[in-house]
Parts: sequence; C-alpha cells; structure tokens
Amino acid sequence: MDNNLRKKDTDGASSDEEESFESADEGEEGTANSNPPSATSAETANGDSTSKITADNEEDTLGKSQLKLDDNASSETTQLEEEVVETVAQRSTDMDAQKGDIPCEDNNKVPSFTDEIQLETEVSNMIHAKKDGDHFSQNVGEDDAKESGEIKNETTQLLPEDDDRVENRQLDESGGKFTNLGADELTDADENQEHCQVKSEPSDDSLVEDVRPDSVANKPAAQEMQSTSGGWGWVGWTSMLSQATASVTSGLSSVIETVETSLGVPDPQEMARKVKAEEKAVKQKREEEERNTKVTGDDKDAEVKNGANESFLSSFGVSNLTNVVQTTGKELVSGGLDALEFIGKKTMGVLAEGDPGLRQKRKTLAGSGPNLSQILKEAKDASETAAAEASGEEPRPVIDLFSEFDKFQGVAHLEALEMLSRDSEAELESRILDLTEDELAAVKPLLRAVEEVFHIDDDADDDGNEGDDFKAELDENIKSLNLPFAADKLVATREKAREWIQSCVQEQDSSLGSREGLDIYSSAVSSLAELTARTVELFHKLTELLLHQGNQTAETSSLVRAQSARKMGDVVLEEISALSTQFAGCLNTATDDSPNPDFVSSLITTLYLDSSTSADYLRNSLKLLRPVMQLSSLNESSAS
Amino acid sequence: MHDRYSDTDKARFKPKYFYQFRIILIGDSTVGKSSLLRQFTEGQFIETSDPTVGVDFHVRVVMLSSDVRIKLQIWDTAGQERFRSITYSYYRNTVACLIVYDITSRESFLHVEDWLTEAKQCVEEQDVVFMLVGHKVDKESRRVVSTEEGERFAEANNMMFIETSAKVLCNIEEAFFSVAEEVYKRMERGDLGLKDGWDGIKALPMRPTDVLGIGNAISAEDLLERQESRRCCRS
Repeated sequence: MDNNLRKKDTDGASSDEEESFESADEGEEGTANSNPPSATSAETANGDSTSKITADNEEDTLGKSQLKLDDNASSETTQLEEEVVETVAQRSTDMDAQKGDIPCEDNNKVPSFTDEIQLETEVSNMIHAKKDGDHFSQNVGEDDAKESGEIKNETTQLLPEDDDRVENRQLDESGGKFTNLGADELTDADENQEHCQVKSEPSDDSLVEDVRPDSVANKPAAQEMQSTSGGWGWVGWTSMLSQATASVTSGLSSVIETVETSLGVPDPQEMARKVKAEEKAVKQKREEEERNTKVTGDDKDAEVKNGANESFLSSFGVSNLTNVVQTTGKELVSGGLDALEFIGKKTMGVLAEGDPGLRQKRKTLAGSGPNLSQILKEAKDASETAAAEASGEEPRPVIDLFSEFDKFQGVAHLEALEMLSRDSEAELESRILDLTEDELAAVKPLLRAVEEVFHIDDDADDDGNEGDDFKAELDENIKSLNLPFAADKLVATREKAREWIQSCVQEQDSSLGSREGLDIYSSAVSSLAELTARTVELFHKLTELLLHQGNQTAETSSLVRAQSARKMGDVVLEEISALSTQFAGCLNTATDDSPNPDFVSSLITTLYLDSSTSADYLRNSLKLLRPVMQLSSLNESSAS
Repeated sequence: MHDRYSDTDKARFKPKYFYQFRIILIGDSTVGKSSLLRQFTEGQFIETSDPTVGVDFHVRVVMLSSDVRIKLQIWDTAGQERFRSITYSYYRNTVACLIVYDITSRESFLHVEDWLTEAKQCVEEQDVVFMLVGHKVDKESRRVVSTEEGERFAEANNMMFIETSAKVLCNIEEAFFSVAEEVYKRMERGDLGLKDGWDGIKALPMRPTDVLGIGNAISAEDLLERQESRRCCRS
C-alpha cells in the first residue's frame, strides 16, 4: 500500500525515479490482479476459470492421489512421505490459517475443501510432483483444455506480468498474498503454455534478457522460498503480532503450495525452460495486445500492467497510468481492510488454539462491560428511586426559617448580642467581685429584680391582646425605655404580615383554591423570620445603647428599661403566636381545596414548629439582655 | 430545623462547601467606612449617612473561583469614640480587619495605630488578616497622607494596603476580594481554619436555597475533619 501511495506521488516524476519504483509498479499489478471486482471482463474470466480449474483439479487429484498411495504402498513412497512429513506437520498447524486465507483471494473456490482434503492432497501431490510430475501436469492440462479453452488464451495474455511479479516478489519480498496469486496463475501459465504462440523475439529484449537468467535460475528455489519470502514480508509488516502472524503467513504460503501442487507442478528444470519460453512469448503477446487494447481502455488491467512494466521503456500514457493507479489504490484500500480484518480474526483464532481458556476469558472480559455498566446504572436508578421515595412525592418547602432569619441579619444580630452579653456578664462578675460586702448587699435586690424580669417561662402563653394593640404597646414600651431608637422596622414588618393574611383570607373567601399551600407557608415563614430578626436587632441595638451610655446617669432606671424590654419581647411573642394561628388558618382553608391535603396539613405542623422556633430565638435574645441590664443597674447604683 | 435535610441530601451536597468570612471595618468616625461598605454590598454611594450606632451588618457572596464561594459578612462598626467600648467586643470573632483612614485627614491616619493596637489586644494576631485602607482618593487635591506613608505603615505592621474611593468606585471590589483571597490562601495553607468558639470562618453547606443560610453542624464537622487530616499530612 505504501508502494501504491509512493507511486501516486511519483507519477509525474522522471523516468529515473520511475525505474526505482519498478517494484512498486509490480506490487500494484499484483493487487489489481487480486481484486477482480473492478477488474475487466478478461481478468474476471481469468480468475473464475482459474479457480474452477483449481477446484476440479483438486478433486481429480484427490481421487488419483488416494489411488496412487494405495497402489504404490512401497518403500519408495513411504520414504517420500517421510520427507514430506515435516512440511505437512508444519502446515497442518497452519490449516486454520489456510482456510481463512483463501477467502481473501477473490473468486477462489478452494475454501470449499476441508482441511483434511487439502492436507491429503498436499501430501499426495508432493509425492506425485516428484514422481509423476509430467503425468499430472498433462492431466491438468487436458482438464484445462476441456473446460476453458478460450479463457486460457486470455489468461496467458496476462501471464507475463504474473511471471514478472513472481520474480519481483522473490526479489523484494512483498506480501505473501500477492505471491500466492502469482503462483496460482503461474501454474496456469505453465499448463497453458502449449496454447501460446511462442515466438521469441520481443522488441524490448535487452531488458528481458538481463532479467531472465536470474529469474530462471531462481525459479526452482523460488518455489521453496515463497513461504519464507511471503512470511518475511508479513512478519516485517506486523512483527508485533509475532507467533500468530507467523502462523497466518506460513498458512498463506502453504495455500500457494497446495494450489500449485494440486495442479501438478512440473519439474523445476522443465518449468524453468517453459517459463523462459513462455515469457518471451508473452512479451510478444503483450506487445500485440498493447497495440490492440491501448485505445479501447476496456482492458484497464492490461494497460496498467503494460504501463507499469514499460513506463520506463516506452512513452506509455502517464494519464492512463494515473487513472489506473487511482483505481488500484481504492482496491488496495478495500483489500487491505479485508486483510486487516482477516488478520485480526485469524490472530484471535490462533491465540484461542494456543490458549483454550482464551475464549472464556474474552467472554468474561468483554461480557463484563455491558454487565458492569448495567449494574451501575441499575444501582443508580434504584438509589434515586429510593431517595425520591424517602423524600416523599410531595414538593418540599423551598424555604426554611433559619435561612430566612439569617437573610434578615437575625443571626448576625443574635451573635453580636451574644458577644455583648458575654462581655457584659464578664464585666458584671468582675465588678461584683470588686464590691464590698455592703455595696453588694445594697445592689443585690436590684440585680435580683432585673434577673426576675428576664425569667421567662417558656410555656407561658397567655392569649391576650390582639389586633392593633401591637403597635401601641410597642411604642409605649419603647418610650419607657427612653433611648434614642424606634421600632419602626419591627412595626412595618408586622403590618406587612397582617396585610398579607388579610388579602389571603379575602381571596380564599371569594374563590376557592386561589392560594397554594406552599405559598402561604413561604409567606408565613418569611414573616415570622423577619419579625423575629427585627426584634433581635432591636434588642441588639438596645444593648449597644445601654452599654454606650455606660456610666452616664440616666433618667430612666435600668429596672424600668428591663421591664419595658421584657414587655416588648412578650408583645412580639404574642404577635408571633397570633400570626402563626392566622397563617395556619389560611393553610387550613387551602387544605380543603388542595389536591394534596396531606402535604398542606404537614405544612401546618411545620409552621407551628417554626413559630415555636421563632419564639425560642426571641426568648434567648431576651435572656441575653439580662447581664447587660444588670450591668447597667450596677452602673446606676454605683453612680448614684 | 437542623434536620431539614434527608440523609440523601446530606450525601449529595456533602462535598460542596462555601465559607463565611467575618470581616470587621474599624477606623475613625467619618473616614467613610459605611460608604465603603455600602458601595461594596449595595453598589451605591451614600454621601451622608447617620453615624453608625454600634455595629451594622452587610453581606455579600463572592466567588473566588468556580467552586469557591465565600459569604463575606462585614461588620461596620461605629467610629465614634463613645462606641469603642461596644465595638471592642466584636473584634474577636473576625478573620479580617480593615482599618480605614481618610487620606485627607492626618488625624485619622495617626489613629490607625491605636485601632490596630486595640484590635490586636482582642484577637490572636495570626488568626486575622489586617488591611490598611486609605479612603477617599477621589479627593486627591486635598490629600495629606501620601501613598508611600500608608504603604510604609502597612509594611511595618504586616498589613495589606490599598487606597480606595467609594465615590468614584476605585478599588472597592479589589479591597474586599484581596482580603478574601488572602484568608482563603491561609486556609489552604492550614494557617487558618474552623475553630470551636470562634466565628471568624464558618463552613456553610452549598445549596441554592442555603446561599444565605448558615450550615448545619454536620457539614462543619466534616470540614473540621478534613482540616485535621490535611494538617496531619502536612506535618
């Protein structure tokens, strides 16, 4: 294939370069020959006839060889058999490969034979090739003549290239597949040489003469070398495949020999002679052919062969050549892919033979892929389903009190309040330690009173004031605190919540199911969180102001302030409770219209839980005021 | 409240955290601490505002990288001397401290040292990133504290330094981002981390609805474990 590519590149190059790529040209021819699908009619006919002949002959030979073996059960035969045993033994291991090899060669029908038949044929043929070579070749020739008289002539037209190719193959050790085919056709050529018009004066004798002696001399050796040469080619190609490939390649060459021998290979010397004469004849034939077919372009293969052979001898049309090279290129690619696929299959086959457990291993390895991913997928699905079931089909609240509380800076204020409270507590303790016993006795009732103010009974829930009292009570208490701050934000938050509830109730009265349970819940949580956060902020600011005032004498006593703060806290706690009840009422109305009443009911429960959590935040912040108020009281008493 | 996540939710969001860094802004009154902060958190410049009483809180979530989200909780303290006794209590639970002075006021720059001393009394110095901020660079014509002076002081006291202007939006983002990055860098080094009884850095679970929330105990514990294991590896 490389050759082909290189050829393409150097198509328009000088004759010198072309000469250097002569072998490359030959390679293409071989490929072209081995890929009849797009070959010309003559070529296809040739391929068909050849394989037919091969098949017939093998059947023939099988019968005859068995007969021969039976007849000549002499020591001579046995000896010959022994000689062959080695080769046969080696080949028998390659039988698999051989079986697979053959399909690669187009139109070759040999694969229909079983390994056993081939093996037997091989053995017998090898014997006969030595003993009765002439007889066989004659037989074959007769069969040939009967079955495909006309085709043979066409076949011979192509033979010179085949021969050249074989020689080249031997020299440049290219792929065994091509060698195989060349040999195949070579046999044909030998058989059919009688039909050829042998005249030995080719016009371009000079070169042919140069090559010939070598080729003729190499011919006998070539038969033996083919296996190695082919093998080397493949091994060099795919050395990494090592043993498996080696088996494949020797299998390829054994196919060649099987075919050859089944057709009856003549005596090497005889063959050499025949080849020489035939080559000359073919050379001449080709010249004639060239003249005839050059213009038609029908016989593309003939052209490319001629062109390839003589590109450096004559001014054969380069464009024609390029055209064919492209065609052969495509064939090469498809053929190469076939070959690769086959090598893969074969390699696995050979490996499996050597390792009986391989198939099982492969199955395990390959089988685990889909299984494993499937298992993982199933597990994932199962866990997701379980998670979905665990979390419930109902939509989960997208809002929660804590994050809402934080959103309104409730957490930050609470933490800041804690810091101040801690510091106040520490200062209070240190101040108390500094007090004399008398002083302590004097302030003790005050500190106790303040502590009592912030004693909060968590369960104390006196449902008392409702409605607009909230603002009034709050304002009143803030006034009594006598500190420069207002509870505007707190009041505004509370009003907002009340308005929302009012509009919600109105909507629910006018049209059923106008409010989603989740919407009511979200609004409720947000309102409660904001109200709580604002109150905590208020307490934080109150603390800051109280601490800021420090030692300054105040008009209002800390005890009064503490009581006011406590009252404020209580007002907000009541409001939280009232708001929760009203929001729950809205939710309860929504439950009746909801397609999922259980979920809305659960929201009511969650809302009451949130309400109590809000109350906890508030009570905690109220408790944090205690040390601050006590410290303030202590400052007052010590100042006064 | 805190068991609002099912077990699967905990598992799903476990590896994703973001942190809350608490930053405190201190400095003389009227140097523009509140303007600086509100420009950063609200994107608007307020020329005049009432003096801060005690402390105000501002929050902004920043992305230091695609997977590191930081919630910056910034405490804006009152600069007035009379509030010092209160702000004093707030220093301890912070991871970064920005001391702001007015480049047009020599007095505010001279007080920086007092603020720094006071802050260092309340905190463990290695736990806090200090930054000196020269504010109001828009009033360049009335500048009385040179950039070099600020730089020199910052370097001498191992502080970061930047000059900003809330009015012309100069270096506001840079100031807070570089502080956050420095804190995160120290966290990665293991110099800073979560500590019991200290709220300078908090770990929060990463969840869209929790971006404004504060994490539950489990995430924080896991993070503490991670911190511990990292320290083990480092030693």
